[in-house]
Amino acid sequence: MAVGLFIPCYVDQLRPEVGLATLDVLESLGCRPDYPRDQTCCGQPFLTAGLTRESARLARRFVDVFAGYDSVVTPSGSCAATVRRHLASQVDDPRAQALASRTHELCEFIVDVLGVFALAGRFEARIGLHPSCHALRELGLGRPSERMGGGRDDPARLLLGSIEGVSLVAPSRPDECCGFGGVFAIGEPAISCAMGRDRVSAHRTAGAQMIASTDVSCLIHLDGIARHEGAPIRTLHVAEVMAARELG
Amino acid sequence: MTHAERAARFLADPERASWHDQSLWFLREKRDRAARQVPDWEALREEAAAIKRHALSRLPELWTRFEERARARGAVVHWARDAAEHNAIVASLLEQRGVRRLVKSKSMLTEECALNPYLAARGIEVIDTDLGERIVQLRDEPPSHIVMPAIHLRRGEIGELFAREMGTPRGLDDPAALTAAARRDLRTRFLAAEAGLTGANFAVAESGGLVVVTNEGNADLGTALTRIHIASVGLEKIVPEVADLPVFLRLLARSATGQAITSYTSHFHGPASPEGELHVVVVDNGRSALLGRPAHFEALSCIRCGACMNTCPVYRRSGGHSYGATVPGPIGSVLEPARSPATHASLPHACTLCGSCAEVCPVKIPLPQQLLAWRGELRSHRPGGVSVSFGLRALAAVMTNATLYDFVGRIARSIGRRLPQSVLGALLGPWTRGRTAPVIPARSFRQLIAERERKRG
Amino acid sequence: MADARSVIFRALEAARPASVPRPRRGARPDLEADLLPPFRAGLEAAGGEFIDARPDGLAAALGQLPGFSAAEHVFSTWREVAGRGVATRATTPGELERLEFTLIRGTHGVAESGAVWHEPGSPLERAAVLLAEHLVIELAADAIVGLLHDVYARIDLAQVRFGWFLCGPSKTADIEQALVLGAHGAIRASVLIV
Repeated sequence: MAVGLFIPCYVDQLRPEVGLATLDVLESLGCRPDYPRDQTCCGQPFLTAGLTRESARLARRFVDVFAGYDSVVTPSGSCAATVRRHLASQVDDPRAQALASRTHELCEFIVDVLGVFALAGRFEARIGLHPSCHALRELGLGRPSERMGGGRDDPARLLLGSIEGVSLVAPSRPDECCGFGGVFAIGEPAISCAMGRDRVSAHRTAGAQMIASTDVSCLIHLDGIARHEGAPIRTLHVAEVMAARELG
Repeated sequence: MTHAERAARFLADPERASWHDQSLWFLREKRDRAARQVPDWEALREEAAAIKRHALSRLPELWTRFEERARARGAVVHWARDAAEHNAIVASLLEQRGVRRLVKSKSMLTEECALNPYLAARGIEVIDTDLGERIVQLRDEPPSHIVMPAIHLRRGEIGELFAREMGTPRGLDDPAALTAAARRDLRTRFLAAEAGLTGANFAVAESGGLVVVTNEGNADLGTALTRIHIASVGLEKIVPEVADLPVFLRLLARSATGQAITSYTSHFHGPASPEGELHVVVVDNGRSALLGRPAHFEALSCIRCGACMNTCPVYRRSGGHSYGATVPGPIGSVLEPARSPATHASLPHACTLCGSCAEVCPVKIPLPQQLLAWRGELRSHRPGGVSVSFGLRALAAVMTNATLYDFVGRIARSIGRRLPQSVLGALLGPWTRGRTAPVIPARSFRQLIAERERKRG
Repeated sequence: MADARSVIFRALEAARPASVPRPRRGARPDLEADLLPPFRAGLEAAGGEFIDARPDGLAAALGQLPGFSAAEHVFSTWREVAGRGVATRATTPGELERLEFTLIRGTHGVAESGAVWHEPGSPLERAAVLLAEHLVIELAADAIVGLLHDVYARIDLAQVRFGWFLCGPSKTADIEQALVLGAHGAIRASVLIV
């Protein structure tokens, strides 16, 4: 199975260690994804900003770069959601819908495609898992608190929760948005930061040493707030948590 | 002013903003508890959504049937193309009957039409009888929420208002005592009124009837003590059959306030008394235009429960007045730009697209999709300003070429790493008002993996 | 000159979205066999009072209601209880302003919510329900059904000029979301099960 690795632009440029951790985790599970150098961006920040032409152009590029793979995996819930839900409507290409349905967020890929539900090894940490809104409500990776019944367990929760030593804390309002929202973060900075502060505070109150998420955009925003407040709480991508395990 | 500017002002009082956020979240939690009691909740939402979509595809037939049946029951049906016509019809009905005192129950439609000032200018006194509406009427401000009009006010402020307007003792801020004072005051208004105006939660085509729900009993008092009942109804409020009502009614109060049902769920078929009159004023005012928009028409399914507002993290932290529109929150941000694109272009951007609104909407309006569609269509508002918009376009152009993107990335990071924090912070503008700038790595992922591959092979 | 109605209908026709068929009616959940406990819970959650009048009868139940025996103004639709005061002479709704109690008969109860369906026999009765301080509803135990759907299936709105579901007293939470029982209508509401 040819697997393509899609590393979102902001992960590539601002948190490259998340990309390395993603690769390490996948390789440790016997998967050797290919990283096509020609990739750049799925178009999400432009789509959400209303720049439809720019977004469509990048969506078309995405199809060209990744159409040849059997599966595409990305350490980003929001990018996976953008591809799954918005690629086909933006690109007039018969390959688009098929590619979209084969594109997965990392934990979803590990559980659904690799069939791995639990991870060996140990990592001692009290972790607040912050669900990416797009992963949760658009991709259905988890049970949204608004919904009455149905749905599936969050694969990130499943995997992290399976690691010995990891304790997943329960913050209040567990799936309230962190406030990043793409260009919203600078278009409405007052609300964006107020939302982020509330999330950081909720995780701290619940006893988290670190906030983990499938989305680096949420993490950069929450991290910026935590450091501004002097809050002793770290932010880690789920791939970094998985890669930090002591094995054997 | 944009939503962002008003929101920043709202947040300038963090204690108050936090209190407002908690109040609205409390409503969301009540909704969750109530929904959990209904075993078929999600199926009910599905059915309600389907009934509304079906109804929206058959509005001419439904209204024709409604008009036939309503007339047969003794109601008079009037048609208003816009707010001006609505107001003129209402004024004319009142003036012809010599009415100078009108009592009105909650109707967002009449807010939209600005009925009160229109009638006041014609010497007709309008008393809003819903307690929340009465409070904002006395303060001469618009409601900030479609179900809880005064949710932005603290009890002390309401106490002060009542002391000024109703002669209650200074310093009295106990909600029960204030409500009792309002009850006494409004009783006299009900008894002195010459006509009652209500909205309608549902118009039923099959029977030609209207359903109006309240907890306070004000819609009923307003129409039980006078002989003239005027009901203002939007074109989108019609449902096909009587058997559709329980589907919506089981969802409505639970979604709005977490109650299984309101205190009064009144069904009007013709005038309620043999000597009385029932006038139904059916209003378009932009609804037929919205119906013609494929990306947005489903918003006409709205049953005005307010659940989207209660769950919206942005609404909770900015308050209804930040939207500068009759209907605020997620649904307002979809409906209002249709009415006035220039004024309301910032509203679809007052949102992180978190999707919580769509999950609580009893009629499953795909709000985030609709907001996103507006962003693509309304170009007049540029979130973050013109420079951000320009920067994004430049960035998108860079992204079309991997080599260029790689190169620009290296340069930008290299410069960023050399800049003093203060300068970097200034460059990143609004990002750093409340957030520390991210640490900029020396090498990108693609550089690191190239190195790793060199080492390995 | 085109009238408003024609203009609106033309606009609706021009804007008509693609046809969507009417959905199938959902399967409704079954409630437990004994509908009284959920009915009681719903009524009490709405601030209403539940009284089982079957063991000791209506008169005894009425006697339990504070202020009933001494009340001057009582509007009654019950054969067993005569009206008092203004209720005996009022010809217009406004005259019922000082009403202390109103006694009515509900035709159906809804277990899921504690609501009661009532069809006022006259405009005066409707006003009496709203103006009295204390609303008292007699309801037969076997008139309680599970869900709202079940009531609609049993009533014929074509024959009803005005009807309503009543649940508990009037109420408001418009001031800081503090629940206050007694807004503009009844301050207290009791359902007497017979």
